[in-house]
Amino acid sequence: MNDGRIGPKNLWGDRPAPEQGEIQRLGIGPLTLWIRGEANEVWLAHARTAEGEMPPSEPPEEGQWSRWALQDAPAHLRITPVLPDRALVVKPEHPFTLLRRASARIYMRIPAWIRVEAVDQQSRSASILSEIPTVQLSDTWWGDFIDGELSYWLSTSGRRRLTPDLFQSHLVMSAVQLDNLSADDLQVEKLSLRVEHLSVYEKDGWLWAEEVRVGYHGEDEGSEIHMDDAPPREADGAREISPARAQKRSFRTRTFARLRALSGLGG
Amino acid sequence: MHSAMAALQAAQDEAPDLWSMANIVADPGPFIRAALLLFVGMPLAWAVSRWVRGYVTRLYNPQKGLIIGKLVFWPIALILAVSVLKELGFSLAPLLGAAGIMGVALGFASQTSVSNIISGFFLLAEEPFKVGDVINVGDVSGSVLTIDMLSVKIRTFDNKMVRIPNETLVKAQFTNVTRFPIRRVDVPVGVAYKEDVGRVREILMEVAERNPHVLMEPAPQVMFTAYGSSSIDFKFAVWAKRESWLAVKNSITEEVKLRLDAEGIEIPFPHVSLYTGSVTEPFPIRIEGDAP
Repeated sequence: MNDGRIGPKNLWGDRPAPEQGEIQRLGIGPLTLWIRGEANEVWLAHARTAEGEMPPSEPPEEGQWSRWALQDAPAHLRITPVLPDRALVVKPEHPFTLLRRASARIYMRIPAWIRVEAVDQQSRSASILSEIPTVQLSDTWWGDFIDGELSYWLSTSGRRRLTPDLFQSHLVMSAVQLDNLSADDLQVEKLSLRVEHLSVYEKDGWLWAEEVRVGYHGEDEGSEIHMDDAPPREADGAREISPARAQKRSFRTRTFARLRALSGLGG
Repeated sequence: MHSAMAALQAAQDEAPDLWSMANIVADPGPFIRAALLLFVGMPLAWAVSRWVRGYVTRLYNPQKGLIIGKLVFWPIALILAVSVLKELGFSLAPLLGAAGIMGVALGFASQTSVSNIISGFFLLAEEPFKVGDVINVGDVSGSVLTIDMLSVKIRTFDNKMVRIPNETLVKAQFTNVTRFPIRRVDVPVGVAYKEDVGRVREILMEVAERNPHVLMEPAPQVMFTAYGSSSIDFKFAVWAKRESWLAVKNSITEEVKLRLDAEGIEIPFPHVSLYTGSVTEPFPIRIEGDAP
């Protein structure tokens, strides 16, 4: 599956907070995160690099830091990967047609957001300081001109088979099982993935989300979506490292989209 | 008018002589009851209208809440006023007679106000905008502050209050720019005739893709508009969420300029070519003095 390759260890979880004036540097995929300790304060700064670029080694200038004032200096900071805070509109680079009564399992890689939390020394409770996307996804609109939902846009290769090169430290692997239960062929050009209902799991240093099963019943009847409560079979035994933002549920919704009249022509 | 004055005089004549201190001391009952009605009834009317306003707002929207709240308050206030007058011994029959005659006179004088009130109900029913929407009426543009019985108050973006009578809004054309959740930003772009039009189109699409606030769907578009006097003109249309419209309008314009400059694509300014009458003849130049 991932060819025995092991992902980065000790990246997620609690780590000692930086001392007064100390700067810690974390590299997570294209994201470089700097954490600075000050008296009862935590300072954060980040930078993203394009593919092929060397990550910056020096922290940014003063003006680019964000600052959090706390009751006491935290002993620990918690770093966890979480999924984006809105639904994703996923567009396969090569749209495909799923024949009637056929099924397909595709793998999508979702760029994680990095949640930074300050852990209280006594109570061990954590306060969220910031959530930083490792990749800045573009906004998109899922719906028509009058009503719809703001989502993130993700272009994916939509692989049918897992290969080692798919795994990266900042990407959450999501398995989507598509079942065309209708009597018509289904042209899969885009689909809306409600990632706010998904948790993040870790196995061998790589990140996974629960399996999403989509049953397509036809143009008029929409799709039935089910999200498991466990990691997919490909990541059996993975441990949950961050829970879903919203409660899991099965629901019926518009998930697929063919080319629709969102041309915006005129005027 | 003479009849109205006579009716008022009759009402005054019929009213008992309550206003002398002796009468107040001898029988303070009517004054106490009137004061009670006024000082308990009015806050009660206000509280009831506030509750109704809140309830209707929760059920529908603030606009309906505002008007229904007023529709509850004013009848209660009127009943209280009549009751107070009655407690003070005023006979209502002559007053109502006077009010009827006065009403005719006032009716003529208040045609505009009545028209505005009725227009207010039309606006309420049609609901072309709500409190907080941004509308353009003529050359006024701003956010709707309140929708009242007579007028709509708008806060302009330079923080002025503009009052627009309801009747004007019913009659005139206006635009609600925040009604729908997404809006289009149109950026006119002109490039020199020598440039590769296909390359310009590619660059503009890349600019749209790199701006995270530009919506990927509805897809950005580059539309040819004209062979201009100095440039080939395009309309670069991108979509943004209503709240990000201004940010996208500002950022995308700057990004287009920077990217076209970086790619060495000329954005020509208007220019005029002068000819001396023949395209083949050089322009005559005379050098005067000791030119270097």
